[in-house]
Order: sequence, then structure tokens, then C-alpha cells
Amino acid sequence: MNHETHSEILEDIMFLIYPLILVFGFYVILTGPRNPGGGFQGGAILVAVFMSRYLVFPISMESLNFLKKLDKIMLIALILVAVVYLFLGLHQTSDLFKIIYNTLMNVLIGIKVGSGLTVVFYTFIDIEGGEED
Amino acid sequence: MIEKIFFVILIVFAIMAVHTPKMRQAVVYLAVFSALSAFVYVLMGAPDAALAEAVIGSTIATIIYLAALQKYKVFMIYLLDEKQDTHHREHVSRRKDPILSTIEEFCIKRELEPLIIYAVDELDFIKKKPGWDIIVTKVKNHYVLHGREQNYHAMALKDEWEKEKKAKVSFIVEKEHE
Repeated sequence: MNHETHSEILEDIMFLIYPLILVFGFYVILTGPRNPGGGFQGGAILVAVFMSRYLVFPISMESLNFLKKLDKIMLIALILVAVVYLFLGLHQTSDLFKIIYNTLMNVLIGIKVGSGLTVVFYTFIDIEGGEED
Repeated sequence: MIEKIFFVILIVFAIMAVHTPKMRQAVVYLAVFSALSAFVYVLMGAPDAALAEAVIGSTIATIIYLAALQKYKVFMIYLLDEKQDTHHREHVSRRKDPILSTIEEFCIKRELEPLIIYAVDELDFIKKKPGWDIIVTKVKNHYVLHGREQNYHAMALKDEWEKEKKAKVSFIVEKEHE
């Protein structure tokens, strides 16, 4: 694929669709505890942002290392939140904590899945990359 | 009742995806299969699974397959028509050139993915571009195929043509000048 030339139509459409995908992804994540959806599905929708970016600009990402770190931080945060919630006995106190806990876990899972799948996708792209020239 | 209709359509798309000779079409059939199965999940009362299927099956998996096909051996065929003007597209007929179907058969036999580009540029300009495998030019019902010497798929195509002695085609082999 040629690096210099990319379609202007695709580029314009991408900037129109970007915010829609983002809003839909966060909607699915945040309403996960009550509606169909949840962290995993919402995170997978957020990956579509980076994938559509690859379709328009077929280059590898510079911020991939940041996403790798984010992935690991989210994994640790997930375990910590669950441990703190259980061992402090917050699940016995009130319903408010349950709602906050559910939403927080969904957000963490969403960000982890989003960053993790993006790292997987771009690593897959980069393997045997640079064969164009 | 409507579920059964969609089950039948699902089976049809699955069979089409398995039996199509071109990879790109198979990927598209699989994406349609995923979208339809997501709809069937909704009908059967599993909206959560439907959302996951729709996102992963018809978006992420499709893009990953397409990216994999980009890495897969793509056989780039330029079909040149130097006389034509770029702004008049009517001449690009819907029917395929007969030579193209022969080249496509060759590609399918060797498990290559044919990518055909209609161009109106000059031959020398195309030759400077990287990545082309075959350039086809047409001069009054006579086809001229240009291929590079180090491209062994193009050379195999030339050998096959000479073996079968098909008329109206001549082959020009480019040598590397470095």
C-alpha cells in the first residue's frame, strides 16, 4: 500500500465517524450493567476507531508503547479494585457502592480490551511489515 | 418462522464463503454471515451475544482478514489504455477483457490474489512504480504483456502461455538495469 497517497473521501468520512464511534463505545460501556453490552463489547467498538485509522493511514502507530502500558495498568487496576471492594466489605454496605463498582469495572474492562486489541492489531500489522519497497 | 428463513440464509452464505475461489469475496461473505447471525441472536433473545457478534464478527475479524490478505501474495495487474482520457470513464466496460479471466484463472490456480488496476498513464510511468507484477497493454486486439525477469510468477505465466500457444498475445520480459 502506498504511504503518500490516501483517499480524501475516506479521510473526511473518518473524521465524521470518529466521534460517533467513540460516543457509541462509551455508551455501550457505561450502560453495560443495565443494558445489553458491557466492557468487552464497548472496548471492541473503541478498537474500531484505531482500525479505521489504519484503513485511512496505513502506517504503524507511534503511541503503541503507551497503549501497551495502559493495558498492563488496567489489568492491575482491575485486580486492585476487585480486591479492595471485597476486602473492605463495600458490597455489604449500600446499593450505591454496587452501582459505582459495576460501572467502574466496566470502564476498566472497556479500556483494557480497547488498548489490548489495538496492540494486538498493530503488532499483527507490523509483523513482516515494510515489504512495500 | 422468520428465524428459520434466516437459518437457511446463514447456511447459504456459509457455503458461498467456503466455495468461492477468491479470498476477498470469502471475507465479505463471512462478514455478511456474522451480521446475519447477530440478527438471529437478537431474534432468539440474546442481545448481549448479538452485540459481541456484530462488533467482533463483522468488524474486527473482517478488518483483520483484509489486512492479512494485504500481506498475502497479491498479484498486481495493470491494464493500460494509453489512448483514453482520464475524464471520460464510459469506455471502461462492465464486461471483463477475456485476457483478464485467463490471468485470474492462473492466479487462482497458484493461490494468488488478483488485483486489477485500470490505468490510463503511460507505460514508462507505471514501470517506475513499485509492486507491479504484470502490465497488459492492448493494441488493436493484440495484447502485450510486460513482466519482470525476477518475478517468477510472471515468468510462470509466460511459460504457461507459450505452452498452450494462445494466439494474439506476446510477452515482453523486462531485465533489471542496475
